[in-house]
Amino acid sequence: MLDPNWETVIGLEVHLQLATSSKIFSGSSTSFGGTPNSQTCSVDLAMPGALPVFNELALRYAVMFGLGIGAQINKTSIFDRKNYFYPDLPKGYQISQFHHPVVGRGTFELFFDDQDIYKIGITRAHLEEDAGKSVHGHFDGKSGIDLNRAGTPLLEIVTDPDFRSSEQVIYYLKALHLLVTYLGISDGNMAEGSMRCDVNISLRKKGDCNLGTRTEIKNINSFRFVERAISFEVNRQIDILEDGGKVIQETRLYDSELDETRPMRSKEIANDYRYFPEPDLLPIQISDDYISKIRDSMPELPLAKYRRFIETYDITKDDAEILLASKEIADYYEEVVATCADSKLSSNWVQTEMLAKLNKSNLCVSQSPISARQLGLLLSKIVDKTISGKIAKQVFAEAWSAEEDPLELIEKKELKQVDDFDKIHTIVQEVINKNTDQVKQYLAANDQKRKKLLGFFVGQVMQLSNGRANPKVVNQILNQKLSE
Amino acid sequence: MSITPKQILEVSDLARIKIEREEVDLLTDKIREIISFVDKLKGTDTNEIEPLFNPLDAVQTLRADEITEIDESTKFLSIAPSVENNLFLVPKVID
Repeated sequence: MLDPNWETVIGLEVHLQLATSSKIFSGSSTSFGGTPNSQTCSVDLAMPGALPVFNELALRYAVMFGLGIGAQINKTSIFDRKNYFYPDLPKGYQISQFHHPVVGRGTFELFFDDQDIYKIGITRAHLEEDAGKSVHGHFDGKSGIDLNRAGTPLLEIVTDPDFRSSEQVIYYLKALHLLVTYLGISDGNMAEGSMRCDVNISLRKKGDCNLGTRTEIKNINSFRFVERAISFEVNRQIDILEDGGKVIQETRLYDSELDETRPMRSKEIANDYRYFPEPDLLPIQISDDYISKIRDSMPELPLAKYRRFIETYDITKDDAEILLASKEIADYYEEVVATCADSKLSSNWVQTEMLAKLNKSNLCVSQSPISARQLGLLLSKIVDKTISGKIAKQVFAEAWSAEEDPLELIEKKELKQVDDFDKIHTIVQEVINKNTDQVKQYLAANDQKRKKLLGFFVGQVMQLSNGRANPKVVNQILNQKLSE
Repeated sequence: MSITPKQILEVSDLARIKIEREEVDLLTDKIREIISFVDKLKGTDTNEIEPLFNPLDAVQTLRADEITEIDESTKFLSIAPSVENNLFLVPKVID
């Protein structure tokens, strides 16, 4: 895709909606999809005299993120006003953080890779309020404004220009998504705009140390569009530079329908935000005690879990990667292992049965008709040889569609594996009596042919026992009988 | 630092404050005066002084994350000049 003469340099700004119930500066609900403007109050609507009061949970979540990437937590941080006019921003300014963000420099470690850990520098992460939404419809040449989203807490996470390809960008975004959902600080739902991405792109000649002029592509809300927007923009810049032209530093918008980026008209001159300290909010002070309490309550992070899974459960990197794809899957897997005590069997089953079925029915783990404990108990029946793996798969499929407890199904349908020597013996005898021709063939055959015929007899026995006879015992008895 | 009439027009545009053509020169002179006053402050040696985030000697109090507001959109929408489908209507914005 890329011209070998040019190197792509990319930095990202991710806007992450924090999973608080109420807004960053008011007690309005932050839930998604409500009737327009039903979740607004005088603060969100910028009524004269309304004053912001800061939400403690938003601060806690920002600190959790900072600790999660080993970043510097600034004990004093302040809010600033970022001034610009846009109808979805009723105050005429956004409360943000400019000079003194909560989270300072840190490092993001990517691990879903066969190579060594890839490190992305995090420049900073700061708190700010989200804006409302403009609705363009049939309003007689006007735009509609819904301010339900205005005031939703955002953490803006800014990286160094450390990416060299869109693949790396997607990798980072997926890992970031994983981290914030593990931390529980955001639902990371890109489709609902909980995670939005601005991409800064520039090109330079291979080997050049200086950065080229960059463009910023705003508000991309899916992994696929990030990839496409980067690809379009890189090619656009190559064309300009190869023609001897200059890239203009500007903000561009990605249009997914036309699959192109184009300049945003409204932002052309309005790039002076006239930041100044927010007079309506006092400086935020964070104590060591506050930080250490948060540190003590931090959940296990994806990278640590990845390493632990490989070590403790003796599974491959690929398996670990799939099982860590979300915290729910990882938790589910761990409960299955804890119940049946066989980590590899659990890994196989969670991947090939559970996740496959979930994907097929478009369900998430929490909606699974079979709980982790139920699956664990089912697998423990394979482990203690009560049922065969094949029967277990039937039980699983049936329990899934009937939403029944797998163990009860085994009881009800009398699916337990038959180990009983006498019972199997009777069935084997029946098969031999019924197939005298084959027995004769067997006795006359050479070793190779015998093997084939033995397979036939085993198949007959299994059929008669409805698949429940223990194959080991069947083989043993058949061998014995046929050599008599 | 100095300021040009062109910058005055740009700032007035950003601040959405309408300035008449004949006011530009007068405003440029006045703002130049203010800037030269601020320039004087710049001469002060602040190396030994801790930065002041806020003149008040207090820190931000924090609010628990609770929904305390009820839906009063009907009242708010009723004082807006133009509404439809629960949306505030404004002159068309496009990007």
